[in-house]
Amino acid sequence: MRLVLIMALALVIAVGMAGAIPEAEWLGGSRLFLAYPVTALGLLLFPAQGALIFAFISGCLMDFSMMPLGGDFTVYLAGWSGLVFAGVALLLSGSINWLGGMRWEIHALVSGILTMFHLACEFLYISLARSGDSAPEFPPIVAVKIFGSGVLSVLSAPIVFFAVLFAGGYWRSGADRLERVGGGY
Amino acid sequence: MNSRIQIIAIVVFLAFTAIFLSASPRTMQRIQRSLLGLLSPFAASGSTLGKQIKVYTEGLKTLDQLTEENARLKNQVQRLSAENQILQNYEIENDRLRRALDYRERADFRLIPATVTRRNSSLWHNSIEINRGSEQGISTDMPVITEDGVVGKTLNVGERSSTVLLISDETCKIAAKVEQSPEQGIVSGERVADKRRPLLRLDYLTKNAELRPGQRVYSSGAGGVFPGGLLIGTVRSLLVRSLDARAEILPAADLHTMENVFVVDTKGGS
Repeated sequence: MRLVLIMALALVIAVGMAGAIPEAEWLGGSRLFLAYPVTALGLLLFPAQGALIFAFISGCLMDFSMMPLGGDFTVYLAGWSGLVFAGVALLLSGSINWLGGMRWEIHALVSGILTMFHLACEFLYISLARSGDSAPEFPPIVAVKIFGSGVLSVLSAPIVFFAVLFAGGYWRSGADRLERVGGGY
Repeated sequence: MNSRIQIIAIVVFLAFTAIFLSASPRTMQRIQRSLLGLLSPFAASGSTLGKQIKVYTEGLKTLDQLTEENARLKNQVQRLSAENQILQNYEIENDRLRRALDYRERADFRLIPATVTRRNSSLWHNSIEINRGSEQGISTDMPVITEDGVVGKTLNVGERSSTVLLISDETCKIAAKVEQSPEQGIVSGERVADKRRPLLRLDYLTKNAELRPGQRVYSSGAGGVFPGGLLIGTVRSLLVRSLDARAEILPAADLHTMENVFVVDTKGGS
């Protein structure tokens, strides 16, 4: 229960503070989205049922906090990110044992992949909605921004991982990895 | 037993997602306003932290720099006071001449000051949150400006806060005209623009357009949302294409660092 509360609080703080973190000019204007490492940790940490709930809440929070809603400007539907995260959660649910448990390296890798996958899906979604009959454009700077944001997620993921490890009380027992809630591997 | 729970969880997840995806835009806007209200303490604390870091890194000045800045500002105040005096005389003269010609009164507008409380962190959207809403008389599609130029327009309005769509967003379009030129066009932003110094596009110019870098671009008032004569930016370059021409515009307002803006209420005169 303590871990659930920690994860919920971490998600709200990460989404709320996203706008205050400046973009990395040295990485083509990429941004650090702490919500992705927190989401990735939630998807890894909770069993399939919990991961789906976490994916839904995280997706809705991110959509609502980032998408300007109103009139003709709404190009995609709030809540679609939950579907993307849920797909990743189900994939992880089946492959976490194969990956060798929930180590910080795995979490960093999943955070980077989740960031790049979600941002790429979002860009394509907007492009398809707005391009009409013409083929959507994919300028190189888009790839730089998506890849750069993925790299920043990978770099920040260990901080999130060990912060939750510490806050969850695992640190004192000398653990270097998190136990999945309810076991599972 | 475990697999049954998982199936139930998937069904419940899909049901909730379907409810969200099929909700009306109005409901979505209400939910968004509530959620942003919930997140605002974290956004505000993050913003304060960012400002403190900025003050620490950029704000430390020597006494000489402060003296120099003070002298410059005093000079600027004197110049602006003098200009203001001249402009007031012009306004009086203008009103007298209009009355003499029985000319229709110019539409007055009211400026509602607001503070930027949050910046959108999305890579693909450009918007900000301000601390003024319907309680202060703000409604959707109101122009937002700074003393330097146009910033954007209000989009989703709550009771005490509003979302402002910036001119650097690709969906924000303004009918514009170029000074000392017959050219008119539509200004819009770009989805993948550099957020620190975004460039705008002025489309639908004629193929024979003769624009120089530095020429100012103003709103033409043709779109209905933005009144005419608001400064949007300056021409940076011109690209002539097979059928038309496109100019790159440098926004006049600093969209990245602005903290105080004014919402233009064109309906409620001062």
